Amino acid sequence: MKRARRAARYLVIYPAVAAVTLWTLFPVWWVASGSIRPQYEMVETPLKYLPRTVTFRSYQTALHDHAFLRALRNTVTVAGLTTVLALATGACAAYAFARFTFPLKRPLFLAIFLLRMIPAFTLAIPLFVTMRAYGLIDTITALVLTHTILVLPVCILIMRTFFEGLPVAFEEAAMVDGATRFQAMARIVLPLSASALVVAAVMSMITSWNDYLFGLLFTLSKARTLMVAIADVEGVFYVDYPLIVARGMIGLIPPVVAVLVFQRYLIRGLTSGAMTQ
Amino acid sequence: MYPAGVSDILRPRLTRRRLHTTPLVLLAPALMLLVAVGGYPLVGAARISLLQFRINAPERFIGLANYARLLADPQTLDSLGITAVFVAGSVTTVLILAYLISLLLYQEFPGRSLVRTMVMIPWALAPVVNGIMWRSLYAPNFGPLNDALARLGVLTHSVNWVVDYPVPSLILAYVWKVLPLPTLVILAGLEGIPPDLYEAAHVDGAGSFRRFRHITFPLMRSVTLLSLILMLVDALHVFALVDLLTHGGPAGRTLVLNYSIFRTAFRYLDFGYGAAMAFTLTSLILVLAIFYLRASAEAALAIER
Amino acid sequence: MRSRRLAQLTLVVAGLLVFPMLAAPLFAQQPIVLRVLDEGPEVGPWYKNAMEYERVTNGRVRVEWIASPWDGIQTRLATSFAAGDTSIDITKTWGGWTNEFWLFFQAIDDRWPPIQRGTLLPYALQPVSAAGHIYGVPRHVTLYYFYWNKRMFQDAGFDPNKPPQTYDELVAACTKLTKTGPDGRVTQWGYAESMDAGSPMLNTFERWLYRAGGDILDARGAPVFNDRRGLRALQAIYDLVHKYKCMDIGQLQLGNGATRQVFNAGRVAMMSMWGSGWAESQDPNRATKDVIGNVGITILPALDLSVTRSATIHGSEGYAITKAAARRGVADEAWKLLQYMTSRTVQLEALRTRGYMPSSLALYNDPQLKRDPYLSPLLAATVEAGKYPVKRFVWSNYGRIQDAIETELQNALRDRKPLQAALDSAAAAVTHILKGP
Repeated sequence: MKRARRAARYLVIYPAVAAVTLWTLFPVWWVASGSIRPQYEMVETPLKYLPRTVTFRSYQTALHDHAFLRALRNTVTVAGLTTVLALATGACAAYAFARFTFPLKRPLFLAIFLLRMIPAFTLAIPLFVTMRAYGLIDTITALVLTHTILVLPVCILIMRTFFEGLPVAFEEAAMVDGATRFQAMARIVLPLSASALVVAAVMSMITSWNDYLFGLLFTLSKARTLMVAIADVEGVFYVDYPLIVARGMIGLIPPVVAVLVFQRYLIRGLTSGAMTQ
Repeated sequence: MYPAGVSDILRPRLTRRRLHTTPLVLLAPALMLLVAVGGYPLVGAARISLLQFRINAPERFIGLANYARLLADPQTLDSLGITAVFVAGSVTTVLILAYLISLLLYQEFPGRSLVRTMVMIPWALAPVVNGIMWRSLYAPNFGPLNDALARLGVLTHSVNWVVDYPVPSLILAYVWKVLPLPTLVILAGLEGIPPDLYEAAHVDGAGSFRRFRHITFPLMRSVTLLSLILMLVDALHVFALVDLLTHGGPAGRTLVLNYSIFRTAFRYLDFGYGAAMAFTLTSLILVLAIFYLRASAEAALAIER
Repeated sequence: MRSRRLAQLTLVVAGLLVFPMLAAPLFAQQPIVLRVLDEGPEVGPWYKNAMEYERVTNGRVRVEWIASPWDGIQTRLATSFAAGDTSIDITKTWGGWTNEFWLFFQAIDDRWPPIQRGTLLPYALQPVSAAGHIYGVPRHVTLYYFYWNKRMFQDAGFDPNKPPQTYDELVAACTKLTKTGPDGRVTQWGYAESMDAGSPMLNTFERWLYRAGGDILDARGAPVFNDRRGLRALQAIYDLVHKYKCMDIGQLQLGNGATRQVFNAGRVAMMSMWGSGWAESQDPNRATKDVIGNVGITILPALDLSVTRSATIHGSEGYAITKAAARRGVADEAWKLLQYMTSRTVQLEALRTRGYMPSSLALYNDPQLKRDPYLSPLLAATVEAGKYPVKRFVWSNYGRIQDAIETELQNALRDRKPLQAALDSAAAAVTHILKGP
């Protein structure tokens, strides 16, 4: 009986997995195949989904481009620092919103959210003026600060939601044992909300990684980020699509690796054993 | 027994014991960052919306004239309509798909880690490459979408997706790109539900569907709301895809509000008007946010029950 | 006691010897840094040239290249100028941007006597001219040409060396060269030109409009493109798509790059395209074996021979020096850099590798270039096109006007509006825009 049910499960699961894989990977495969074959192969009739002439020329060009590699490094740094900064400040703020009541709590939360609600480019010019005033044009710092305020509201929102869903019992038990609020937060709440932290971390990282506008405006050549660097080989009269896609594919590797590492921390919910502690 | 939420007996004790400094200390770093880096630009942008700020003329204070112009402009209503259709279509599609995929990723099967990672790929793809990809997929005669449908016998002639069905094409491309976010959030929410609840229901003889309806879905209320508001805000901020795929066309059929703002400010160099449009859009989202806060407060109370 | 003094003395001497070595870099002359905003290195030889400039000046001047795609340059310039930024010294520009941003550019009329300017092609100066002054140096000139696939012509029974010279000839070739596959889908289109929003649509309309003898604005600055000549032009495009069915309506979503791609893959028999198409159609990474060496290039066919044999638009670009550079005191250095970057050798290399036409007239009479089998067709076509109108519409509010016109044109081509009604709506919109806020 059990084996039959397990088989039935797999009969549903594996076709579903296949469908999801097709949905996700087919478009990526299609565009990636454009980076390993001559441009004319992409518009043949009937379409050839498997490349006939394979060339890694674009990847060689991309990997020998020092400006591109520097942009890749810059983006890894910016995304990493943004994630750390956003998580650290956001977790504290989310905890405050989740566990305390204080005056102006609702308006304050809305005000924080206000920054996320404004289209980023509206803030671009005044932000540019600010960055210039502090001498931060073409620095990593400018990008980290800008990206952090972009992702912070959503980080707080996500973590607040998850913190609110956690029973207070554990923290109360710890505080009865003499722990301070901060210790309760650090030792009990954070480990239990690993899933929330993963979501916030991945979201921060991807948002920072994907940013184009601020990378375009605040950097010149030293702090250039990846998204801008990928696009900057595109010309009006002359465009090398395989090269753009090759650079895009190379740029896909760090976030995917990061997600692979992070998603292992999506932890299953509380077990009754922990509660009776 | 699953004591969720704050128990009424203990709440007064918590807040009475501590002075009100703790929440402020916790909030301080976040607030300092937001005010220092985001506060001045916000005020600056608000100031610009009250000016006639064009690039080749000195700025001129005109009060609320930009907003008045916005209300009188027929293009505004048009953009709002297109935005509404786009947002409604994308958010419903993406939430349904995200739920289905999350449920799948919640199951245990060999290779699950890899599939979970793979699902995140669209989100991490560079917007430029995403634009090139969808332009190619939707290409009228030599695009894979038409080709596959023709091979399957569904189509007899090439369909010009972007020209004839601009908004649905945009929705599909957008859903594809942004699906990993709600999937991740909902999956994390699913993982947060203690398994013993399912055990108990299973012992009581409930099937999978009933378990979903009576345990999963109610407990996921706040997470679902979270995904909803995240997707709403994100959909209202769509830009790169519109710029790369349709340029707001054809014939202005995909001029969502956010794209229109960018175009007004950076192409037409009418920064004052663009800022006014932006604050109008923001007010719209603010209204949604207020609804969200109210709804999530109710959801939290529901969980306690 | 004595050992201590000896130690102190040794320290002082060592310091005196070491200090100059450490301090020398500080006192060495810092190079003047000039920041250039342009498209990426791939686009042409200017980047390479600019990077060599440091060596050429013995380290006195260094160039920092800020690469951005076209739209990125526009956004960057708009933001920079709106925020009073001073970080860009030289920027790539064309007629549209110069008309929008000339307040932030440095006029250099005094550095460049009109006599020297006269050695250039007449329309080469448009990219850097506005409000009666010159703000920079032309970089390259490019026109729209007519390309055809000679092999396809031959296979269809046409003379491969006789491209269409009139609209009727174009239609005749176009209809014959459009082929459909067994599943009903078109496998080969006769003719293609880009009709994507964001410039190509307006450019396409302009080309036909000028061939019809019309114009976007008249001498007083009022829209005149909805007159019978404008209607004729739009009708010509409309018929190619809907009546003769030899141009893909999907061109409304294909940009210039995509159009070049399908031509180079041998999916389209004829196209109108920038000069860069010439270089691309010889590139084995982009063009099939059947296309390479089998492409002809000439001037655009006439719409009405009684009006003009041909007309085309130019996409010339230049480099402008910003006021920020002038205020920093490096305008002279920037000027010298630009002279170097647009020298004759560089123009030749741009011509050879990318099909960008040189702006100086002298090169068109160069006998060696005229004999070059690869370059001579391109040069000949450019010289020939110069005999007929070569125009480009630019205005200070270019972006807004372009979008207004393109919206209506696309409406008409999608069959959503009658042609005259679309043109009239566009003209009304443009009048409204020109009136101002």
